[in-house]
Amino acid sequence: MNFSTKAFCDEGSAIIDLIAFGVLLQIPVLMFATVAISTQHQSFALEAIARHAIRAHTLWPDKQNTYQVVKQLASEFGIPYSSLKWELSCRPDPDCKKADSIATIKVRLGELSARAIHAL
Amino acid sequence: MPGQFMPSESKDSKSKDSGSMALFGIGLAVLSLITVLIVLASGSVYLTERRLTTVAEATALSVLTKAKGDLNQDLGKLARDFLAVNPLTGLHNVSLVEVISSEGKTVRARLCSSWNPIFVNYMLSEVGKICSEGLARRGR
Repeated sequence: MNFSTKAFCDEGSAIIDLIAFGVLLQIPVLMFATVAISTQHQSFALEAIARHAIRAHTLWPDKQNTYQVVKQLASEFGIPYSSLKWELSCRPDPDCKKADSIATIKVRLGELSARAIHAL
Repeated sequence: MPGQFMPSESKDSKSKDSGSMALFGIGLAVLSLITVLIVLASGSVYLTERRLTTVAEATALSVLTKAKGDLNQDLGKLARDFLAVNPLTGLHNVSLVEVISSEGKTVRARLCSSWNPIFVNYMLSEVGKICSEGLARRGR
């Protein structure tokens, strides 16, 4: 069996060409896809956590309750809660109990972040 | 008889077999890359739409609250005030299309934004416009 080859030339082994170009070129593509899709999955997760947490908070303005919601959602998305940072603010009423208040939550995971707002 | 044609067919296909396998491999890699980019772009469109829906719902709720029951006033101004004050993370060129009320109880806010993928620099950026709407209702 001939294992020598020349790129872009008729002569040589098709097996070597197939491995070199067909398989080895796929590895960087696969690596890029893995990293990018993982990043996008985290973005989806942050967006969902922010959206649901702010809804939970406006329905029941209690920070402990919102903490439980965030923690549960993070575990459902496979994100360790310890790596997640979130901050909740409400204005003009910091307790989020008066009508006309706007609640804002910002969830962060590394460089990624998501923000959701909700009016009471 | 089909068998009688075999030698000549075989000879023809053998003469057309020549060529480099490298181009097939590179073509396959490019095809894979394009597939990955399309999947990422689709995800990005979905993410933008979700963000816009969240903002549209918040806008509708805010307008409903700020209007204090009078939905015959200029609801667009209330919505624009809300959008101007609140930072819209992850959304670009958000525009208010319409804010309408129906039955004097429901507010419907429709927003559009231009779509920016996560990886802003690749070729599919700044292609489309995404719209979404949110509704809020007071009373039965």
